[in-house]
Amino acid sequence: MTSVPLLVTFGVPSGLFALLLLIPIVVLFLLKRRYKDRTVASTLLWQALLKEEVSRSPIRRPREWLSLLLLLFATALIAAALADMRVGKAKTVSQAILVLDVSASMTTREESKTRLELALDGAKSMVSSLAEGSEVTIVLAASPPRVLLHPTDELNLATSVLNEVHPTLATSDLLPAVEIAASIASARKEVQATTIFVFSDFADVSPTRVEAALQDLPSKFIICGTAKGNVGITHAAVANTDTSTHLLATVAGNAGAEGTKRLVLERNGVLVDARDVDFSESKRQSFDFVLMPESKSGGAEYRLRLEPADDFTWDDALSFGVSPRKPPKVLHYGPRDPFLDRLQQTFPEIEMLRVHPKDPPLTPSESYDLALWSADTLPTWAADIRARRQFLIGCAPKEVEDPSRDVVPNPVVVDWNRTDVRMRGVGFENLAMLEAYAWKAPAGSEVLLRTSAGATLYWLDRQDSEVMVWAAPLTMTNFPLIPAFPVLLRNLLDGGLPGLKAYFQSGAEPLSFEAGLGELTGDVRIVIESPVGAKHQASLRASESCFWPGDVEPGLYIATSESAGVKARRALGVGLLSEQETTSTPASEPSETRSEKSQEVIFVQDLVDERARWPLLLGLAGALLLLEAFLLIPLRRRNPSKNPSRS
Amino acid sequence: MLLTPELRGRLARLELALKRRLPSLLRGDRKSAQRKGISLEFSDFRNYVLGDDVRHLDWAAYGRLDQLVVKLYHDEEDLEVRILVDESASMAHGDGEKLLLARTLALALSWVGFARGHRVTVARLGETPEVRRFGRDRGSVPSLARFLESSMARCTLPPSELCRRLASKEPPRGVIVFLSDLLDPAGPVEIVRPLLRHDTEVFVIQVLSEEDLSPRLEGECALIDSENGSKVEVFASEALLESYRRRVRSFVASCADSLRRYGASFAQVSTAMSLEEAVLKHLVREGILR
Repeated sequence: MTSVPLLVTFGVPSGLFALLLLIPIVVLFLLKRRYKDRTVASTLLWQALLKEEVSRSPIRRPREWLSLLLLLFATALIAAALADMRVGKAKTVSQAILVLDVSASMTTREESKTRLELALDGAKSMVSSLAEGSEVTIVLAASPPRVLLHPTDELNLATSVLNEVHPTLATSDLLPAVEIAASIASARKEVQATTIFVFSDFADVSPTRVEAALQDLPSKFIICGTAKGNVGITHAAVANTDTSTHLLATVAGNAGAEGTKRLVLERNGVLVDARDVDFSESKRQSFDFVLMPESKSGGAEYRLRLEPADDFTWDDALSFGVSPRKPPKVLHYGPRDPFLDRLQQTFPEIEMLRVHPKDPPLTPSESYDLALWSADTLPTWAADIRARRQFLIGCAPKEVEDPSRDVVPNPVVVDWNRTDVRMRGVGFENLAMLEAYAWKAPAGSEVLLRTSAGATLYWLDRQDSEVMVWAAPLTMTNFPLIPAFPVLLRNLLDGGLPGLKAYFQSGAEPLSFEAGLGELTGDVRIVIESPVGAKHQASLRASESCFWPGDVEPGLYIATSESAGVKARRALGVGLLSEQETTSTPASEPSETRSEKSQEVIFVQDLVDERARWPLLLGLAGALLLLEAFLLIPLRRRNPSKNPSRS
Repeated sequence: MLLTPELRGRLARLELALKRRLPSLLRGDRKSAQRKGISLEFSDFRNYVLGDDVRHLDWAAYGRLDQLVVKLYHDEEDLEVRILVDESASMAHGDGEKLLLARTLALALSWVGFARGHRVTVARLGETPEVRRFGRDRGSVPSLARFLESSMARCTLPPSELCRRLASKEPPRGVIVFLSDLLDPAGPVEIVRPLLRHDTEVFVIQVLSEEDLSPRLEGECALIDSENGSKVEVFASEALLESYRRRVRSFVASCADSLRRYGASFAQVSTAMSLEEAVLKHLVREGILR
């Protein structure tokens, strides 16, 4: 980069109107009679005297002009200070690629501005210092990274684009964005003097790692933030037991976190619980809150927050809505079985649709929480059924390549997964089996129970559903009889049937609502309102998903859906819930790189060496005014022996 | 302006310290052994002119001739003492203390002249010189005082021009006492040059005020000349004021030196002096009176 002399900019150009004061100052100086008129008998002797004095001391008269000059300079300095004059060394760059970190940690407040605001100020200063003809590219280190502005020489456009950059709830991942910038730089190697500017707090990835991604490309890392202690809510989950609903929350802090805070739970704005959080011993603590039961007709909005909040507020609170769990919808396909009858007896809240293999094909019109398939084979319409989870009892999933009916007589239990959450409360100590199928578990399946026949109980993760497979005939085992069976079914139905359902998610996930909010059918009109009052609406089928466009902010998103006069409402909380963002610490010290590298690490305040000069300007103006006053003081020494003369 | 009886008595014992003999036209009390004049011994008659001592009128001759004549006795010189008061603006500047002192000195010196039998003429040097002869009549002192005080004019002409105008109106002769501050760019000699003749003896009394001698100024001042309006801007530091005081002393000394070289007598009085101090002590010490 070549450097040019000073670049002077004015943050408040209207302050330069103070320069108009120079005119009346000069006019008053010329008009003002600084000398007191005194009529004397004769100036004869004074004239003769002054001729001698001037010949001895020629530098007398210029004193008053010096005073005027000092006053003019002081006024000009005050005008420059009012105009927020900034002086910096302008650098001419042919191509600048700006990588902006817009992760959640960039919302941390640094005195009066957030880190992202500091980064944008630095980026705008960088753009404004570019010589005409330079090109600017802007890459956002978001999730996923994207090119916000392709190479352009319209610097005003670049500034406008920078004005529209907002932080995201994403975690920081600079490396992919930097790699994009590097690829752009490499692709435009014919353009000389390409420099990559990375604006980040480098909280999750150090400049050293980033420079490795840039190889030898000229770059500058601008640290936009200081090392600060931070505490935030990193995990949250709601669990229902047979008698209560629990909110499990984890609070974590970074290396600088210290002291105590309070974790407060509010329901509909009313404090219901609070816990002390002490970081003196542990940087991670978990808490269990019991949520109040809700009536079937209503719901509630909760807010979990840390107080006092710190400079990084996005992880200090989590909002969520709760509503009573709806009775799970269960589809059973297969012959009637007394054991499954017992299931319905055990859980009377279950809405079970029973389809016998001899029944007409079921036209899938709704989704189910659990689909039980206990026939030998799956019906042709099975693939059309939308069920959150499926339990195949004695019938092979499509992933089994050779679902032969080779049975293994009297298999014995080898082992089962006692720690998996889906096996919570499930014990196969008394499991007895007469037969089990020797199916080979598909690749990627998760074995939960292994017998001498192989994987007898295993889990499959499909894109649209979760599938549990019991590779044994239902009637050839005492499985339905032992307590394990209903417990397993309960686990498949997400724990206890009564209870609350909480609606919250991490900001990293796409924000969407089922258009019918699970309550309406047919054509619906859904309106989603963001925490800051922005709205998005769409007309969809009830089963379709309505996505929130644009960036997501932490807070409560309210979805209202209406169909044929019937309305439904849901509150969905969006939180950061990122241990990475909460526990990271920005790079605290810029470090010089090795001499053969061209990277440089600086603080954003040092970018372009542009500094607000108003304190210096006001100080200089004050000094000049003092000097001007000092010039006058020796002129007014009194002779204490004489009375003041009369004019 | 008043002369106390005590002061009058003391003034009557003084006389102008003339250095040389001057041609006189009229009788006076100053006796001369070389010329005819008035004495106890009758000498001659001559016609009466205004200002002659009426005690010397020959009434017998008037009865015979129906004409006023005076008797001449011994040869006695009678001097005319002309007292000129500079009434330029510089003299009247401020509260006019210089002019007041000059007029008072004029009155006192007139009394000295009256006491010695001299004919006293007083001239106010203004735009138009005003001359009035008061003869030898001591009783004319009040009118003389009124004459001196009557002028309010603040003439903007310099003293040199005033003297020139007077000389052109009335050629000077006899003893001339010139009361002025001599603050004229032309210089003291040029001021009194019109008065310096073979038949004149000039006494110059420079009247300066305390402000002239030691001005009380501070800070930045634009000094305006009271006569010509010229302006001088000065910064009145203590150093400059001290330089000015030295300058004044030097000026006074140069006036004395140059005037004496031209045969004039010189003395400088200040408004800080009382009349008694100025006349009875200072002028005697400076050789103006004895």
